[in-house]
Amino acid sequence: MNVKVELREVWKEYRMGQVTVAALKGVSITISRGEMVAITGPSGSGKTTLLNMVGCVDKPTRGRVLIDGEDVTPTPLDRLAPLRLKKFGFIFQRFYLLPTLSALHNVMFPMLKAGVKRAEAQKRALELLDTVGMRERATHLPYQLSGGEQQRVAIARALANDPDIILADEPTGELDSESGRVVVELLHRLWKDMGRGVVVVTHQSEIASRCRRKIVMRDGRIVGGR
Amino acid sequence: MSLSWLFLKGRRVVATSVAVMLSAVLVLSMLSVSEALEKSAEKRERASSEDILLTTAYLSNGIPGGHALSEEISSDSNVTVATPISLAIASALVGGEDLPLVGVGVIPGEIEKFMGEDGVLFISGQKMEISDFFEEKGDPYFAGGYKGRWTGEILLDEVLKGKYGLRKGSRIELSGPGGRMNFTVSGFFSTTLTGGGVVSYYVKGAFMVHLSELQALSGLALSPDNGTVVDRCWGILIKVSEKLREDNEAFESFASSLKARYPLYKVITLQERFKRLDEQYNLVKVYSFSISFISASVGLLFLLAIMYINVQQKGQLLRVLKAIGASNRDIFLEVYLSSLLILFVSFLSAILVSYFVAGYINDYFVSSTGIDVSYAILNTSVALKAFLIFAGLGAVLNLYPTFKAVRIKLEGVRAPPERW
Repeated sequence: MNVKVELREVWKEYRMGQVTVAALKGVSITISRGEMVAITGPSGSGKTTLLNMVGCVDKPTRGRVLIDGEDVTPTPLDRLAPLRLKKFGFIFQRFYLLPTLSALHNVMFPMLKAGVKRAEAQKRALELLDTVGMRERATHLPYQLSGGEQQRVAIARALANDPDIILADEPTGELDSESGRVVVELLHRLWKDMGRGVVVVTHQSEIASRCRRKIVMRDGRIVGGR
Repeated sequence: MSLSWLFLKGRRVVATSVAVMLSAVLVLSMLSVSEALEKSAEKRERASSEDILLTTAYLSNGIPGGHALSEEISSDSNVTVATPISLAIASALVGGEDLPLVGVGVIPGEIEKFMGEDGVLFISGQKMEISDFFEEKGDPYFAGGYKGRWTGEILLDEVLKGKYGLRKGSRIELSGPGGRMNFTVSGFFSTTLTGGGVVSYYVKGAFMVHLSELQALSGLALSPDNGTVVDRCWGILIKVSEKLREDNEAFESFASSLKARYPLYKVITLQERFKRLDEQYNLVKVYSFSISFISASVGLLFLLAIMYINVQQKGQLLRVLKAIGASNRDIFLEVYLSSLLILFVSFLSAILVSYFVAGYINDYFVSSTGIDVSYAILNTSVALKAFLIFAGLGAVLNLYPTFKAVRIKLEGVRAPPERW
């Protein structure tokens, strides 16, 4: 199914003491499966907040978020857990693998949460680790892996429940250039070979240049691309 | 269900578990000592040799005419045997030391009827295990109007045997208000008489002699004014017939008649002692439960504090769990089950440690008192009580960090590091 995320006139305001700061100011955007989108812009321009809205991990102050045409704005975030589990895969700048679990179990974790049987989850997790070139290190704990390796495991985890859209927040921000290159290559493959939607928040022009679509943000507004 | 056991890693968990375990050991020890205290005292009371004790109601020099009164009571058809006994403090010069001892005066032939086949005698709940006994079963010194044959037979506390090298046949001089008298050791016994309470700070052991000889030693045989026989004793032990013992109503009626007949004395039945014991042990139970509750609270508040810190420190990972699909229920289970697992593992370890602690307490006190009774009992009932305190309190207290974790807002998950 060609999943579509629509943001309509979305505002996000934070109260900081007596002052109200608007991180997003009436942003409207549509992202579909099969797109590779880069969100760029200076620090504080609202890139992360926009990604929060797309991934249903934050709620707008005003405006609406529609997933496949259904307005999810009024639904509490906890109730959206199954939707996040199945439609989105998350990749974080600092990897955030669960430190108590091996690489294999980190990848299995979202599948088990989605109700996949253990044996099946293990088989698929090994396949995904193979895809990101980490099968040999499946039994290693996160602290035994380098930053680049951890991010590759995180990519495998993001793919665990076969999501439509991968949301990556500065995925190479903590990596050296070689590891960063490998990660970008993987994300590119996810989009090109596997047909996923990939949304990448990045400061790096090399990554942005590999995306078909580029959204530039400044002061909570989209100022370039759509 | 799939958990990442995010909170069960590192030295902090080990330290927390040890702290909780120590608190559980204290709870178990308090409860097991309380249990042992209750059980052994109850056992002593239930094994009490006398059914009724007639003693002085007020502080006085005792019951005058003890031998005659005992005979009078014995003549009642409801009574199997009644015997006077006396208690007194005397000094013994042993190995150059002046030792204060507590003495029991008995008529051997009569007191024998209160003893079990194993040589165990309980007088007013105090246990005496007698391995050797008097050769003279009567009370000849009294029979001669306190001028009769002086047997000089004495049974000594086992504690004195080991400590001062006394043996059967050793000579010992005792002094009391009635003067200095010589005795020959006829045997030994172990007793709880000096095992606890204020008396244990003062007296160094116990002895047992013929009643009239103790009366003479303690100045209770004759009147100090005119030298007439007063025959004062501490109390009369009464053993009733089997028939009366089985008929509660008749027993109560007999006890009431004794009270009416001897209004100046205190008539204490075994039932009354059980009742008093229950009241005392209710107090002990409340005290031990309170200490256990406080100890458990301290240990579990420590666990709560550590889990709270864990939740604060691992907040970002909890947000990640939520972002990758974990529901609030999953987060609840993740934190709550981790807390409970630490609690249960600590408690199980505490049972193991407490088992050895209870063994050590028993060994230590048995060797120091010479009385083979339990001083700490760790049984299923004690473990269950301690577990209920721990699990109940733990289950409630750990809800706090758990709900803190559940309420962590997902919104911060994608924020850059400086905003976490």
